[in-house]
Amino acid sequence: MPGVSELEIASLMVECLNLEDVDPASIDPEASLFGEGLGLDSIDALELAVALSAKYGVHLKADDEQTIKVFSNLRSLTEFVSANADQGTG
Amino acid sequence: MNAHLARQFFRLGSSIAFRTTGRAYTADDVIGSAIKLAARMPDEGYAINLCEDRLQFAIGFVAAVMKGHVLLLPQNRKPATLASLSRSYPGCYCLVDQGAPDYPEFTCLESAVLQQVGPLKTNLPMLADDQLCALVFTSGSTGLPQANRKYWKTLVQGTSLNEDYLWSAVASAPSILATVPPQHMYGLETTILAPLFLPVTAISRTAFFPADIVAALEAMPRPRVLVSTPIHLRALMATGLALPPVDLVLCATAPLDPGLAREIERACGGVLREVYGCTEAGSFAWREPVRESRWELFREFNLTIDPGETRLLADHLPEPVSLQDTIVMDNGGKFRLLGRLGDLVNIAGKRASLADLNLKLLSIPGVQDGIITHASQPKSTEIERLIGLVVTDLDPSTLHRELEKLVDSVFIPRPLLRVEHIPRGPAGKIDRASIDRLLSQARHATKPCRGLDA
Repeated sequence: MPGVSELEIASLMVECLNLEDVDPASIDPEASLFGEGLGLDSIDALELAVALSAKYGVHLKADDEQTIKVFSNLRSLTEFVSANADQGTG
Repeated sequence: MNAHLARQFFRLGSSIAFRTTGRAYTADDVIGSAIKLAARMPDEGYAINLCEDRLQFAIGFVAAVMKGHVLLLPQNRKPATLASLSRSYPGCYCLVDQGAPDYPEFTCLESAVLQQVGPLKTNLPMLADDQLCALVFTSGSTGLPQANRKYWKTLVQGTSLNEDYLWSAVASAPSILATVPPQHMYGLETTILAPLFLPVTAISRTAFFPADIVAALEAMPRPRVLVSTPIHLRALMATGLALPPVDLVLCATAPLDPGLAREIERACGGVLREVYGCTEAGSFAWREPVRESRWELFREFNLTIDPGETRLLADHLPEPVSLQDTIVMDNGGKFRLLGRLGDLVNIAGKRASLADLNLKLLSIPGVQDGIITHASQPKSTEIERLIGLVVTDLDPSTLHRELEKLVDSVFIPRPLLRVEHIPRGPAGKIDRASIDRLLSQARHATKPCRGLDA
């Protein structure tokens, strides 16, 4: 399974969340996505979940303790997607 | 004054009111736990109920009502929101979920869930129709939160109307899964009051992601009800996950795209009923958009439509409610909804006034000028977001942080672009064409305005 790059996930975020005022390459991979940092909200979390399922076949669940960690920053989200993406997509 | 025994209203007994993972709780369990919680509450005060778990929220609700404390239900839990509540309502304290993070500025009481053995033996206090039970907040056009008063009578009768017009679509004793929080009027009615007063069972935990919704539905007995919003339902359909049979889907907070409504009914095999309501009045009309585009008013409500104002009246409401929507009545009592009045925005069930959002943007030190407005042509299937232009020397993340302090995150513009100058007319107005031109220019320039903490 080839890895997914942080820039690829960052670009997907910028595109699907209308963050056209943000340059994907400038997102700090360790800055938090919600609240401080990028300031995403729960609607964004849903939008992002939809985009990730469409592109990588990855389904996020709030029930997993893991999800909170996954969503904490770009790096952990990218690692999660890389580890769980469907073979042959993305 | 009409005083009634609480016993007459709360559904006592052994039927299941709430379900958590692996456990079921009766209304007796809720009331028994509430009696214990009430004993730990201060003698006087207002209870800000921040519980996310519906069972724990319900225990807090019942405890406060029994103690005679008014519940405060804010639109969000931002520090600024809570601070403003504590200024306006001296002696307020917070009810929080077990193990939830504390709010250091407040006295916090954790809800404790107890399972009763056998029926309750305690005498319940008398509750009067005119007991003020809750203040549910909306953002007013002046920027100050507006408190909507909920009397005991309002809550009891509102729930009974929902039984007639909403829950009647399914056979008895449905299980309810919701994607909306219990602090929102729609969530309060459908997932707290309904399980306390009616033979329905609510799943305690809020489902959020599509995969959560599917998993939770699969674990529920039928008839199943999903209480949701266009935002969650759109995400659910977009992921393409297979849905188990759902007997009734309720959707509120914004009009649902009829195509999406058809898709949902096909996917779950049940009925999709849209609910029209507002914080001030609760639910008051419904339609099944796959079969009928017009709304049907609950018979106990009256609409009066005068030029410039549409008002809603009902016996159980403390006062007439001025609606923020444009409505046209058809012959036969059904009506069409033509949209919101100009200045108002409604995103994810939260309301704000554009005028107020603009005032807040301009109040930030270092912002020389700026405008927040609707995106020009939102597609009907897209979630509405606002756009913003700002003239400032503030660095992007400072600006964003300052704005976050003042406005709910759903109203933060997407994008918020920096421009050199905003060409206002003599009256200070700026026309749409100028906004669109500036937006497109700013998009081509690279002046990112936020989030660049790196």
